[in-house]
Amino acid sequence: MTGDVTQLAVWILLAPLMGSILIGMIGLRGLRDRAHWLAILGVAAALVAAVMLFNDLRAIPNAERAAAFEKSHVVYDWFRADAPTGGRGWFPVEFRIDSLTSVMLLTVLSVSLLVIVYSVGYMRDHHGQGERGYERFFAFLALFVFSMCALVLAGNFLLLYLGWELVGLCSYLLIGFYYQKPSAAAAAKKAFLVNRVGDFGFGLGILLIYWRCGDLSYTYVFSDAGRAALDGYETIVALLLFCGAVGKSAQLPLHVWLPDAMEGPTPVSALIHAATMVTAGVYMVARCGAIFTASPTAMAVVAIIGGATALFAATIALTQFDMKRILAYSTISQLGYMFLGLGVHAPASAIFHLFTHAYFKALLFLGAGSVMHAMAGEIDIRRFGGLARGLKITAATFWIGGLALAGFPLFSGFWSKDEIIHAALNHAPILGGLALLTALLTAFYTFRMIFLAFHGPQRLPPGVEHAHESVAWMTVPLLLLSIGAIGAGGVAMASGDFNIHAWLGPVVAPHGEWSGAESHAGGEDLTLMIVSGALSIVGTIAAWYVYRRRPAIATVVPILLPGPHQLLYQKYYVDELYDALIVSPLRRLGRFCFGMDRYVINTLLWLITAVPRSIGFMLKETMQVGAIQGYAMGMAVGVLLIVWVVLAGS
Amino acid sequence: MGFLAQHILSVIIFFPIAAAIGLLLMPASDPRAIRRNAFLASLATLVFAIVATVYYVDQQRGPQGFHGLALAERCQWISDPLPYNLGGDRPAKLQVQYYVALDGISLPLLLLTALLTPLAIWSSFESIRERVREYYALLLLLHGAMLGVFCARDLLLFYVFFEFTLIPLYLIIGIWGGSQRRRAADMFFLYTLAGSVLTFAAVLYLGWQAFANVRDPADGARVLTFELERLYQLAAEGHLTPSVQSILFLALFAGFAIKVPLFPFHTWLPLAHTEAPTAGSAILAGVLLKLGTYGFLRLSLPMLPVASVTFAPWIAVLAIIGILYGALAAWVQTDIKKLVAYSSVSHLGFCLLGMFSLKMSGLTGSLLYMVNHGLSTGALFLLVGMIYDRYHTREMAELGGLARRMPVFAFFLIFFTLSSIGLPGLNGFIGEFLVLLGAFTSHSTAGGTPPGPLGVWYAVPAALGIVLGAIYMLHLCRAVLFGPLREPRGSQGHAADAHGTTLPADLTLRETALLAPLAACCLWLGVAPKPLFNVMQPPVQSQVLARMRPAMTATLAGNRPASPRVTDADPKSIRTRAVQANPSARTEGR
Repeated sequence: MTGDVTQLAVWILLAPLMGSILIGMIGLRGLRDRAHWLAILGVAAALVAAVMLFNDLRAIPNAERAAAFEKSHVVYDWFRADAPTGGRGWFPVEFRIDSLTSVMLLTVLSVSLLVIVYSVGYMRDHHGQGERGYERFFAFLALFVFSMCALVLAGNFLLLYLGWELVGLCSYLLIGFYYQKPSAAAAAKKAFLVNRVGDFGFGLGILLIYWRCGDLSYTYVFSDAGRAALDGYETIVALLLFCGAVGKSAQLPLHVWLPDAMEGPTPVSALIHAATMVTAGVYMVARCGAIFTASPTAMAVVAIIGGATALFAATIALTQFDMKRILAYSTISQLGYMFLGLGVHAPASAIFHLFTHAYFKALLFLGAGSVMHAMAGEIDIRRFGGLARGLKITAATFWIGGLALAGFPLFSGFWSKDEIIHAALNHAPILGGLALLTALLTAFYTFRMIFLAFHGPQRLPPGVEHAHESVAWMTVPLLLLSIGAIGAGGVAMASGDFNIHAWLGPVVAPHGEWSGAESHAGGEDLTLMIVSGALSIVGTIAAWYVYRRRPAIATVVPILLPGPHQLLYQKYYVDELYDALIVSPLRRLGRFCFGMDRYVINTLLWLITAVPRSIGFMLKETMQVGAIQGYAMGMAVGVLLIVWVVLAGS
Repeated sequence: MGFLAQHILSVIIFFPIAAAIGLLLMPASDPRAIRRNAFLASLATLVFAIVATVYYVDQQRGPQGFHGLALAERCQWISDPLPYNLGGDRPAKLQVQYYVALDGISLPLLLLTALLTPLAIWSSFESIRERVREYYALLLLLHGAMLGVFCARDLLLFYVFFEFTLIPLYLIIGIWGGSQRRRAADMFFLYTLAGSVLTFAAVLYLGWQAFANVRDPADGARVLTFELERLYQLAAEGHLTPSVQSILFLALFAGFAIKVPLFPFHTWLPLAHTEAPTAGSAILAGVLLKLGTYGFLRLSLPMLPVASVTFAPWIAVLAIIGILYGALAAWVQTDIKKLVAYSSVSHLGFCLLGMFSLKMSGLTGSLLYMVNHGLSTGALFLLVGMIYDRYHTREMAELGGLARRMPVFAFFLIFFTLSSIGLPGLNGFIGEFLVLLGAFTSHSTAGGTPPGPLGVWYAVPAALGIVLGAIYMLHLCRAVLFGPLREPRGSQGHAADAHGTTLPADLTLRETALLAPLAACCLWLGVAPKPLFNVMQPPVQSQVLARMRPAMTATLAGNRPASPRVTDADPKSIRTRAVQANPSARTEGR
C-alpha cells in the first residue's frame, strides 16, 4: 500500500521530468515541431498517477488516516549536516503524501495539462509552424510541472526549498522566453531576484528550524516533540517562512515582480503566474499550520498582509489597460484572499479558493491569450473592442471566468470567496469588511475589462482585418476550464471524500490547531451570501453603466481626480520607490567597493612596498656604482660572516 | 600489491612533472604533437587519480568507515644526525621526510585537480599559439605541484609544493597573459610570496618546537621533524602556549589568507584573473585558491586549535565582509572576467565562514564548497575564454543577445550560473546550505559537540550574500545572453582570430566536451552526493574536529558563568576566555 503510494509519487515526478529531458534531446535532432507530444504525454501520465494516488488515499479507512498521512515516504538519502550523533543524520529525499498533497497535485496537473494543450495552438505562427524556441517552451513547461510536483510532494523543508527554487527557475526561464525583448529579460531577472529576497527569509527560517529541532522532516517538526523544540520561536520561524510566501505569492511588499512577469508567453502567465506556482506560498503556510497557528502574532500578520494586498491590488487593477496586467493584479488580490483565509484560521477555505481560482484564472488568462492571438499580439483594451462577435467561444468562456472571479452567485469563486469572507468577519470584522469592499472592486474591474474588450462597436487594432476565433487546440481547453470555473465550487457541497473540507480536515487540523472559524461546508451564513452576491452584481452593473451606458464617466473621472488616478495608474510608485531606496544605493555601494580596491587598498600596498623599494634605491645609488673593489669587499665580508656562524655553531 | 598500488601517490605527483620534462625534450616545431602529448599526460594522471580513489575506497572499507590515512608512502628525504651540538646531552637528528598519503579531506581536492587540469590543457588548444612547448610543460609542472600539496603529510614537503605552484603560474600569467600581464604577474608573485615568507617562518618554528619536544622512540634522540602527526601533538600536549599559537596562527594566516584570498588581501586576484590566459584562470580559481583554504583546514585548525578558536570570529567577520564586498564589486564590473573573479572573493568568503564555524556541518560544507567552486567557477572561466576566443572582447557593453547566436553556450552559461548561485539540485546549494547551517548553529551544543565560536548573527549577513550572488550572476547572463543581438563590429559571429582559424558561432564539439564533464559533476554532487559525504565526514571528525575539541571545550568552560548569548555577539570575550581557560587544559595534557 505505502510502497504503492511512494512509487506513484516517484512516477508523478519522473514522467514530466523525462518528458522535459527527452524534448531537450529531440530539440537537437530537429523533431522540434512535435515536441509538445512528449510534454503532453508526461503530464498526462502524471495526472493519471495523481488520480490513482487520490484513490489509494481514499481507500485508507478513516481511523487510520491521521497516522497514514503523517508518514514520511523516504526515497533515498541526499546529504547530511552532522555526523550521526546529532539529529537524524541524513537529509533524505522524502515525500509527504496526504490529502493536501493530493488536492494540490490534482489541481496543478489538470490545469497544467490543459495549458500545455492550449500552448500547442498558441505557440504557432499564422502558417501553423512552431515559433522560434517551440521545443524549448515545452521542455520548460514540463520541467515546471516536475518542480511544482516536487514542491507539493516534499516531505521535508529542504525538498520544499528545492521545489520552491526550481519553480522560481522555471518562472525565470519562461518569463524570459522572448529573451531578445529587453523588457522580458529584465522582467525575468526581476522575478528571480525579488523571489530571492523572500527566500532569504525563508532560508533563515529553515536554518532556525534545524537549529531548534535538529531535523527538517515534516514528520518530526510538526510532531509534538518538534513543536516543543520550537517553543518560544514560533513567531520568528513563522514570520521568516512567511517572507518566502510573500515573495513567491507576490504579496505586499514583494508583489512587484508578478505584473512584470506578464512579459512571458500567455500560457505561462496562465499556468505559473496565476494558477499554480504563485499559490505555493498559500500551500506552504497551510502545510506549516502547526507552526503558524502556534503564534497569534504570525497569524495576524498573515491575515493583515493578505487582506491589505487583496484591496491594494484590486485598486490598481481598476485603472490598468493591459488585459494581462489587470488579470495579474487580480491574481495578487485573490492570493491576498487566500492568505486572509489562512490568517483567520480557515485553511481549508483558503485551499478551496486556491482550487477554484486555479481554474477560473487559468481560463481568464487563456482567454486573454486567445484575444491576443486574434489581435496580432495587441493586449491594450483601449485599442480594440466589441470582439464578442468574432470570438464567440472566447467571449463566452471569458464571461464564465469573469463571473467566477467576480464571485457571481453559484459560480465557483462565489463559494470559496464567501467562506473566506465569512471566516474573516467572524475573526476580524475590519478585515472582513475590507474583503467585502475588495469583492465589489473585483466585480467592477473584471467587467470593466469584459465590456471594453468584448462589447460595444467592433474596433480592431491596425493591421488586423477581422477578429477570427482561435484553433481547436486552444478553444477546447477553454471550454474544459469553464466547466471547472462553473463547477469547481461543487467540492464544497459534495459528500464524503469529495468534500474538500472533510477531505482536508485530518491534515490541516489534526491537532485542532486551526480552531475557531473553520467553515461548515456549504452551510454558510445566508445573509452574507446575499450581501456578497449582491455586491458582485452591483459591481457588474456599475461597470456596465460606466463603460457601456455612460462612457463619458470613464473619461471624466481621471480628469477630475488626477492625483488618485495617477497614483493607482502608476501602481503607487512602488517600483520607483524600490529603485531609489534599494537598487541605486546598492549599486553605488558596489562602485564604492570597487573604488576602494583600486584606490585605497592598492595605495596602501604601494606605501608598504615603498619601504623595500626605497632601500633598494638607496643601495643601488650608494653601493652599485660599478667599482669592482667594492663588490669584492662585500663578497669577502659575507663569506667570512658565514664561516664564522658555522664554526661558532659547532 | 604491485608497484602501482604501493606508489600510486608518487606516480600521481611525479608523472606530470616527468611528462613536463619529456615535453621540453620534444622538438618545438610540432605544436600539435606537443599539445596532444600534454593532454594525454594529464589524462593519464586523471586515470591514476581514479585508480588511487579505487584503492583508497578499497583499503578504507571497513566497519569504522573511511577514517584514517591510506596509500601512505614515506622515506627519509633529508635525514642526518645533526653535526652540531644542538641536542644538549642527547643525540639529535634531522628528519625531513618525503611522506605522502591520502585521506577523505585530500581525496576530493585531488580528484578536482586531476579533473580540471586536463580540461584546462584541452581548452588551450586553440588559444595558445606561441611557445607552445613551454606553456604545456609549465601547466604540467603546476599540475604535479598542486597534487603534491594535497598529498603531503610532512609540513616541509607541503611547503615546498605550496611554493612551487607559484613559479609556473607566474610564468604562465607573465608570458601568455593579456596586455597588463607583467604587472599582474608581478603583483601575484610578490603578494603571495610576501605572505608565504611569514608562513615559512611559522613552519620553521613548528619544526623547532618539535625538535624541543619530540623524542625518537627508538633511541631517545631529539628529532627535528616536520611530520604533520607529530606537529598536531604539540598543541595537544600543551607545548604551544596560547600566545605562541596566536603568533604562529597569524604567520600561517599571512600566507593562506592571501592565497584564498580573504578580504582585504584580495586585490591581486581580479588583476591576475583578468590578465591570465583562460587555462591559467581556470586553474587559479579552480585549484590554487583552495590551497589557502586547504592550508587553513589541514594546518591552522588542528595544529593551533586555541588560536583558531580565538581568531575564528575575526576571520568570520573578514569572510562576511568579503562575501558582501566581493558580490557588490562583482555587480558593477563591465568586464565579464573581472566579474567572475570578484565572485570568487565572495565565494571563498563562504568557504572560510563555514570552516571557522568549527562544526561538522560547516566544515563539510566548506570542503564541499571548495570542490563546487572549482567546478563552477572553473567552468565559468572556460566559458569566458570561449567568448574571448570568438569576439576578442570581454566587455559586457559590446556583447548581448548571444543566446540566439550560441544556444549551446547559453545553456552552459545558465547552467553554471545556477550552480554558482546555489540552485537546489545542483552542487552549489548543498555547500552553501551547510556553510550557513554551520555558522548558524555554531554555538549550539546539540549532539554533545562543544560550542563553536560563531552564531546566528554571522549567518544572517552571509545569507544576504546569496541574494547578491543571484544579482550579479543574473546581471551577467542578461547582459551577455539576452536582449537584442550585439556583437563587436567586424566579428559577425564567425570571427577569424589572429591566426586565421575560424571558430563556428556556437561551441565546437571540443568546447562542449570540455564543459560536459564539469556539468555532469555539478549535477551528480547536487543530486546524490552521499558517497562523497561518506568519504569526507569521518576524517573531518577525526583529523580536525577531534583535535579542536579540547580548545573548544575550554572556551565552553570559561563561558559558563556568562550568559550564553555573549558567545555569539562578542568575539573579544571568547578570545580572553580561551586564553584564560587554556593553562588548565595544558596542565591536563602533561
